[in-house]
Amino acid sequence: MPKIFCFGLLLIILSAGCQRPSDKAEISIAEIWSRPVMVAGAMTDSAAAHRHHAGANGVVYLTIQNSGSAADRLLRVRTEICETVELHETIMDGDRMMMQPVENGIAIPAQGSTKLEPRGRHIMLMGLRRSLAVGDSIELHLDFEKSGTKTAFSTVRQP
Amino acid sequence: MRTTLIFSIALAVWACRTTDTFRGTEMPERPIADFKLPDQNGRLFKLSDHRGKVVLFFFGYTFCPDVCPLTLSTWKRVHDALGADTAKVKFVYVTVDPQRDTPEKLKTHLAVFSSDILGLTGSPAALKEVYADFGVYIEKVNIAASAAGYLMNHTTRMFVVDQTGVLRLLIGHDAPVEDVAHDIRLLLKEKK
Ligand SMILES: [Cu+2]
Repeated sequence: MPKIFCFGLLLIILSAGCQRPSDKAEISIAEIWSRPVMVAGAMTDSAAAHRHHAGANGVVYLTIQNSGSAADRLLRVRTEICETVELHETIMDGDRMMMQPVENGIAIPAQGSTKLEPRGRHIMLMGLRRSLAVGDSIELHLDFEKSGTKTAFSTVRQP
Repeated sequence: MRTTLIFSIALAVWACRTTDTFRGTEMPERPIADFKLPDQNGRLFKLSDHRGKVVLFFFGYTFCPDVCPLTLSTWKRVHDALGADTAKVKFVYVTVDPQRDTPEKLKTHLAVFSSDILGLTGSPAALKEVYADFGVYIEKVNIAASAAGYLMNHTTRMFVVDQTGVLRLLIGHDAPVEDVAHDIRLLLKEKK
């Protein structure tokens, strides 16, 4: 009798555990890279450079995969490599380009992925504190609405 | 008689096939007015000093991390693909943002790509004349929601000036490297 009771309890726990993940986002980062950028020695006073909006800027492209069954959203990105990080998008209108900040973050659909790539959306690193050379790795903390913070390393390469 | 006719038709077809055409967009031929602007090395760039060379122009700004460096890395690969022919080619990046792009700023920015790419800046008035002559669209947009303060909307096409100073081709910034190199080589073959 107690054996059957234990088995029944186990079944209840298991089934409860199996039903839950349906409203979770499962985020992973792939294909993450940055362009090389040279920062002049005179720009080490990055606070001054930033005040004049004249620092050197970098970029991060990546693919955000979501294997969960709930959508998620990239809200902001933090890194020590630069003064300010913004989510931007380049919009092509024929042969004209315009760049603007992305509002309200970047959505990642459930069971899907979102790709940030050249001539589209990008993570913009503004006011770099040092040069980004080919082979370097940049530590980034990505804050998601549901999944919390994910840490990723972007590799610098010349496309 | 009959074989001669067939032979001449075959020859004509072959001749037509080998007539090489530009892959970029051909422009109604128009001379670019001579201009002078300082480069990143403190020298004065004068267009008329480069007769006998093919001169590629791109109008961009160093603050842009996306399309502008994308085009510069294409130029680096075009430069490498041209081999010995690069001696007869000038790559000229003209800033659309003289407020941020000093010669020093251009120098560090371009060093990542190739020391053979010239970066031109200058007074807003002098630059404006050059933009107008090429027909480049530029718009400064103030953006309160960004630490950037302002961003520049601009034309992304490459402009190709032939050995005589005449604007000949427009090439998309995303054109394949071999197409850009092909068109430059075709212009270099011209004897004027
Ligand atoms: Cu941007």
